[in-house]
Amino acid sequence: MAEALLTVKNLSVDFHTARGTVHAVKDVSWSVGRGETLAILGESGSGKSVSANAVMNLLDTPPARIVSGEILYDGKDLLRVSYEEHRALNGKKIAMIFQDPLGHLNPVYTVGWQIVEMMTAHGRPAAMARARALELIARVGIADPEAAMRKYPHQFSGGQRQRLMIAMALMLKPDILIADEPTTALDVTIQAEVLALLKELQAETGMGLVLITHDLGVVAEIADRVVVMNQGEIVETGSVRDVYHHPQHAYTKKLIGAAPGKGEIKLLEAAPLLLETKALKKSYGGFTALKGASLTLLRGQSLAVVGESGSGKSTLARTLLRLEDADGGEALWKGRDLLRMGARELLGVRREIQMVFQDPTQSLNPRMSVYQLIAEGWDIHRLMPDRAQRRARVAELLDQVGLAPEHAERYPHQFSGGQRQRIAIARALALEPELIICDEAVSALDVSIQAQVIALLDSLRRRLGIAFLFIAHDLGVVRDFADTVIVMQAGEIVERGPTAQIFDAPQHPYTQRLLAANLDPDPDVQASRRASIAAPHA
Amino acid sequence: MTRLIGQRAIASLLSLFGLMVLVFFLSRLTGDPAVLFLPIDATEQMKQEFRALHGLDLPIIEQFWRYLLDLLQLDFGDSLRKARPALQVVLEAYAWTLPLALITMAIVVVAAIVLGSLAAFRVGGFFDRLVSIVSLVGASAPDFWIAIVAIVVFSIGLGWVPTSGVGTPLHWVLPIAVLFIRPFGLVVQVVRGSMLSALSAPYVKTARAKGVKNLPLIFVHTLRNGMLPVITVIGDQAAAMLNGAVIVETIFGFPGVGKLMIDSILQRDFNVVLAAIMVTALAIFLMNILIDIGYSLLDPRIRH
Amino acid sequence: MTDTSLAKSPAPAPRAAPPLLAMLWRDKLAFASAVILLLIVVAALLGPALLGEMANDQNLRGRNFAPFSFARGWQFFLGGDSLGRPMLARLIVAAHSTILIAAGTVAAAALVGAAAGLVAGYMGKTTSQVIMRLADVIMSFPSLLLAVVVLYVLGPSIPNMILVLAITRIPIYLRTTRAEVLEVRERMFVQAAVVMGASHRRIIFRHILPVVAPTLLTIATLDFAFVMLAESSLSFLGIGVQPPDITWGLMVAQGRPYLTTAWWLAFWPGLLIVITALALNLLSGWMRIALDPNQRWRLEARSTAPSGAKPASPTHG
Repeated sequence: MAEALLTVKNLSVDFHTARGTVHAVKDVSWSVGRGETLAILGESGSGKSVSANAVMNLLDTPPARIVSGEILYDGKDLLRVSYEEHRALNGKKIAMIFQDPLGHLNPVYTVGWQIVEMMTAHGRPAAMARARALELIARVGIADPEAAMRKYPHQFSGGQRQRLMIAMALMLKPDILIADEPTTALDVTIQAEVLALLKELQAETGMGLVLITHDLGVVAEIADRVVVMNQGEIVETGSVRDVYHHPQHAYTKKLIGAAPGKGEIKLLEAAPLLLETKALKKSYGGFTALKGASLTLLRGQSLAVVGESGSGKSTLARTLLRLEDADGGEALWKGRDLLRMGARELLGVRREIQMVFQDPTQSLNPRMSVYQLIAEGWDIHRLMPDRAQRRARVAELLDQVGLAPEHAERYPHQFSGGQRQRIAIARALALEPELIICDEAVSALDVSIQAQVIALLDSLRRRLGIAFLFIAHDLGVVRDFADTVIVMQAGEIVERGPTAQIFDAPQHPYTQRLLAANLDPDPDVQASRRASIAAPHA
Repeated sequence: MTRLIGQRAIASLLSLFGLMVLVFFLSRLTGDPAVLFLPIDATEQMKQEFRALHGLDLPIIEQFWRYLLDLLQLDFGDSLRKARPALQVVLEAYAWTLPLALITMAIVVVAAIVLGSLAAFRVGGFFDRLVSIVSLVGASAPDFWIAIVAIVVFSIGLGWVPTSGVGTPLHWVLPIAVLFIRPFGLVVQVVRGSMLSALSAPYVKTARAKGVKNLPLIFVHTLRNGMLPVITVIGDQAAAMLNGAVIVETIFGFPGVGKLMIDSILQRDFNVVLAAIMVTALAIFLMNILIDIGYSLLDPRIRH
Repeated sequence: MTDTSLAKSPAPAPRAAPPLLAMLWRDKLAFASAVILLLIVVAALLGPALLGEMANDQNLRGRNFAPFSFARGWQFFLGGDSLGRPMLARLIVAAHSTILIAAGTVAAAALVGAAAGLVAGYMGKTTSQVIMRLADVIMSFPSLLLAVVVLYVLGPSIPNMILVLAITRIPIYLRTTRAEVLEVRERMFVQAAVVMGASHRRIIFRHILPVVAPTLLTIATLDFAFVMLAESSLSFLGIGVQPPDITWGLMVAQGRPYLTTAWWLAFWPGLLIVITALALNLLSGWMRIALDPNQRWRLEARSTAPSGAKPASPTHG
């Protein structure tokens, strides 16, 4: 371990909230040295960002209160220096980049102005700052830096914005760069590029890098050491390889065990045809979202549709559900064309096809109780008029998805994210559907909960013979759940086949790229992949 | 931008025309000017002559047609009351209303931005309380009552300022002060709310991580974003003021367009009413264009 | 990480009324406002029946009788007007028309505006465009002018006042409702209902309206104050309510000539307008938070936490 540049010692921070005091972090200690990459790994609510925000003096006090601890940099305790002294260090010695570069760049100023400001705010002349900005914008791989300087944040893509954020952070050659979930909002292929860029820049400047993430794959790809956090406490610290191969703490073991993409691959079983689409088309204005998608789905099949943002996978789901009208093609549901059904016939199909949305917080009406949510389908389709029978069935469904019957009278906000998604699944099951369409149904959930929900869906599929159209961007999850995979890019299906074939012998270059960019939680696997990618260039 | 202004101009012209038609016909339903303007003992013949003189004896469609033709030559007709071109009468009133509105709005905008920003920066602090009290009063007290109380206290009681009229700068103090309260209360609340959300925006976090100082943080990074919703409200308030501050102008005997409008309506001086409406509509149209330009200067996302 | 976080939050009762009242009691200003408004409503309902005769009882010896004296009975405690009628009794009676006009206006405008807003927000683009352009026309029409014209044509009666004022207030409800509906209908739970096969009626009344209603109620409270001020302005200018009907606005106008000799004639009715509007404003502010599930904790927590407000300033040094 290199000599520590920045050390956080025994830091405890409380948050005063309406529901009482929350211990956001308890007795947290870590350090990072020159040229080193430290990952802080944790799920939502683990307090993984709190210590970094304390380093940058970004905690709002109140509601936050720093109870104890010290943050040592250059012989000083950053918790005890004056506001002005701390400000002078921010950006100059310790810089930070964030998850959502669109939100974190000021929308009303040009990118150039904002990058230059990093230096002018610390008293450097504007001309010098401009020259440095041009140099760095070119360095992070943005074409035509002169023109880029004059543009506004909304005129760049997500990946470009994060590159510009990195350029801004490096203006004053900081000793330490803190990156808070820097690639979480990006597509996998872009994520791989940004991580590679960070690594190159670290090698050039020798800065220490603190990377806050929830993704084991990102840790495996980029970090030297890792700090694992759970509920405000550090449960494990060590080199990435040690922690992955020999986890000590039960939580770490569970986290690594839950990482998707390790299970047995499922095989497609013969079954009658349920849904067949032919040349499905949809465009918005001049933009063609779906350029003729054809697929077949069998009873009890789990078909995954994989693609990055803008690939048309969600449009596919929305047209099948008649949330959007398709421009052309047909979708035969048990032989009848879904897209041309009248209201009456469609109502019947709406009972047979259900949907589970990405974010259960938003897909459950906050003013309805769990009972009302689950029973609404019966109201709509005039089923089960008997209340006692309904109560019994709701209890049964809650039990089926792993919740307790007494939860029926509660409201969505009283549940955790994973539990809410179980409610949404129970709602879908209430109408005994033959097909459930999942649009990124697990991607908003923490990894450990993701695994549970996937297991639940799979058991439902096997027991009840429900078919799934599973739309996702996370290849690990898809590998665990699907028996067949369709890969989409820019509105077109570029490859399709059994899961094993797609993962082991991808044919289309895009599928290959997607798989290569997908990060494996095993640091050794990642290292050998990097070697094999680097080798052909050498 | 030019296209936007063009579209707006067409829309405004259409609704102005509709407004004019409505006012023209409705106002002629409200009574006969001949009865109002001639002495009580005027004979029927005198009334007939009066109507013929002002074209009021023609069928109403004919009157409207003539009015439109005159309008195309920018002739708004004569004022019955003052026997002068209606447009001239209106513009004279505007010479009073415009400075009153401009001065008041300028004070409102500056005070609201400064006090609203300070209130947002320290929630619950002195400025925050001051701002919430003033806006509460502005939203709760009828302006005619404030005006009356102000006259009783400051003019009659203390004798600091004149009760009404327009002779000296001192005459302007009470009208501006009374006119100030309500728009200030509204605008400052919007400034405060919008600055509050802008201050908690992610880009402010970035700026703090960059080591930007507090003053540029508020007035460079945040204010420009926070101003976007504020501009709309300022526009609405300015438009209301261009319509004339009827109550304040009436109470303080201020010869502005609001007072002119109400007097003309009460005395059936149709040409003046119509001219006033059209001049006001033009003023509001121009101001809306200024607002649009301001908007696109502030927010590049609108420009692209 | 485990799915047992339910224990953390004991289920708040789904019934809304009792906790709301308790929350109102906790906010003293809002509570006082509610009590004042209740008193005014009672006065408005019972005033004319109980005191109508007394309020019109002219007594030349009580002309401009000075306030704060019980010499002529309690009804003269706030003084007598220019015809010797007791101010206090007149104020209570005037509450009737004042509140009636404001309540009628708000109810009519809210009903029509919300219905049109729902349609404009939920239906296709063409219907929406037509409704919105109509609202624009109403907004661009100087409301004073509209009032004068309509009141002259139809006569200045209380129903006509309500009609005029309601027309000018409709766009407020229309725009708010439409904006909210446009936002709510895109929410996932509405889409989930569509996917389940819910009818338009069900989506509007079961999923959209309950989300929009609290906002409308808050605006209506605020608007009540605004309408009251507008009515009093019209009455003050002499184009609103006509004697023998009285409202507080008209009373201010009638008292204006006596400003120098009998200030109380114009002062008391004005003060009542201010107090009522103030109470409405405070109550509306409280409702905005109390009826919003995302903000409600601020009020629920007020007894435990020092302050719910989160300062955005960097104070740590």
